[in-house]
Amino acid sequence: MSILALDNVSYTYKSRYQEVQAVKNASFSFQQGKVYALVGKSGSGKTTVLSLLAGLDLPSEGQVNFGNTSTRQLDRDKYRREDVAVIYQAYNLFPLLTALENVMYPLELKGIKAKEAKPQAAEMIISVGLTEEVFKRYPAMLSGGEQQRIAIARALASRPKVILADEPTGNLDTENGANIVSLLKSLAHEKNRCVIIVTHDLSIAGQADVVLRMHDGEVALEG
Amino acid sequence: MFLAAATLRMMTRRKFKSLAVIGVSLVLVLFMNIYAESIVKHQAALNDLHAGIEVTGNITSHEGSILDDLDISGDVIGLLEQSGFIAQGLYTRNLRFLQGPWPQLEPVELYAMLVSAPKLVGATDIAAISSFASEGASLPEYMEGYDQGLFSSQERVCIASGNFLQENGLELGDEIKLTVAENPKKIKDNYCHGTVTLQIVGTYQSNKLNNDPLYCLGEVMQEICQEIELPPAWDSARFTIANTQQLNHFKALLRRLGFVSLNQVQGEEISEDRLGFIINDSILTDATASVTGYIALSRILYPIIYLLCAGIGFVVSYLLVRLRKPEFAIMRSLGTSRAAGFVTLFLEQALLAMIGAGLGILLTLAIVQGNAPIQFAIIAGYLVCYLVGAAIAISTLNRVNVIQILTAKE
Repeated sequence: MSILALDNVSYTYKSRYQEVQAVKNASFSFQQGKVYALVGKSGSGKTTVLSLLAGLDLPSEGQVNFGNTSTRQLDRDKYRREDVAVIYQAYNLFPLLTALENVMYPLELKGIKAKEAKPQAAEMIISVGLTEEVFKRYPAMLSGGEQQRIAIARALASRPKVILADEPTGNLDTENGANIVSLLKSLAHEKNRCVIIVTHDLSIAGQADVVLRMHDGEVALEG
Repeated sequence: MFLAAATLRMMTRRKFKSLAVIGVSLVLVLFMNIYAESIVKHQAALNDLHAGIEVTGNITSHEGSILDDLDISGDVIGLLEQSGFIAQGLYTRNLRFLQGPWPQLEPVELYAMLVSAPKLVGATDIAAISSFASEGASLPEYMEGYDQGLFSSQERVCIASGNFLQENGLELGDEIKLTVAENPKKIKDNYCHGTVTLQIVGTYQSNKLNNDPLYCLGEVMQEICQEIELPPAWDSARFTIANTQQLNHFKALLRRLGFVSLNQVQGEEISEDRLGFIINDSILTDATASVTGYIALSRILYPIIYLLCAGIGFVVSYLLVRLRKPEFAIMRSLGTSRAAGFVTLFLEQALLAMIGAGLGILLTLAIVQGNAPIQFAIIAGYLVCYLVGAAIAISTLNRVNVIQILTAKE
């Protein structure tokens, strides 16, 4: 059963001088337990699709459905708190919170008290392959790979069904990049999450279960 | 609870920026208070100058040379007394007196006789009589039970010169019957006149050979005038001004009442039937000029400085909040609602600005040793401006494209 679906989605950026159709009639269903790679050149509309899937924006036409509910009808703040998480190339951790506090944030946002959130966040950090040593470190004190793992731990903390990753290995060396991809794959295959990776790295795309190519706003299944 | 904790955590961790907000608020609040206090201090100094420097004035003839026999309407003096500008009014009124019955003479002879007759002067205070008011003048001697306080009584008594007593074989305590008549201004068939009996209770030394005036009480003189059917009036008026801070209003009142300001007109032709006034305010004006100028300038600049401070608060809060764009985008992407994001940042800015303002107040009190009136309304205005700046900045953050900020590649 599809967990997330694009149903004839179009998105048009409107400025004072021009209108640009970034996504054109895109339709596709995403399943739990699979890794999807969304590939395409810069400006092909990948980031726009990511924004629509994350509930950060609404399509101009068509629907993005989470389960059977359109994101138009959803409480999209709650959707982002509980059902979907986004991992970015630039990690986007809170610079003034420690690694542990960064992972605690989505838990506390859900209403879990700090006392309970702390062990859960710690467990999540350990589960992405880091040790207790990083708990009290600020993001600036961590390596790129460690920061990305903290970002993944933060994404997983609220136990979302869908994980969106935007160029998650873009700032990492080959070894760390491979580890992160392997981690994302295990989340899909072992934890039954739907993982959608936006990338232009064909080696990552090669490891996905399904590859979608975007070209001039249109989404097509590759292979 | 989480939002409050997150706010406090962010505040304490953003050490430099938090201190910057506190510092800006502290300095601006301190500055506004000290500036206001400086105006208050100068105003107090100005009040002291006004309280300490006596300003007197008097009514004169149209060219300023004659201070007596002016025939100033009693109604006009009444209006001046009621205006609240007169701290002490010194007034005299003159009649002519004869010893003996009213003579039956031709108008010309009668006029000549009255013009050369001695005066009966009614005064509201001993100081209203110029010959006693001048420095070094010898004061009257009184019979037992009387002193110069008698001028505020209503007794039918008078003070006569030693010569007058000697010439008429009188002593202190004797009564004297006088024929009194209006001050002759022109030749007429008849003059208002009547008789009056006064007890002599004081005597004074005079250098004149004859025609020494008799002095009686102002109130009694008005009664005598009423008895001989003369309208209420005064012949000289000197006054100490009560409210010297509004001297211009007093001058304007005098002008409205028909008096000409002799401080201002120079070489101007003034009709003879008009009276003038002189206000002796040059010492006060010289002493207060610089303080008045400072206060006036400060008051003009105050709203500008206040707006500047409020504007700085607005800009600082706006810019500092705008710097939080990435952080705000992360919060939104993790599912923080717009309202919660707004509350978090707004609460943080409000707390920091209030801490700064509070420290500014404490520092003001420390510097001025608790004597300054704290400008709470001004501080509240500043805080409102600061928070409006923060609110606008947060509202614009609420409209940013979150994904565009977060997907910006390093």
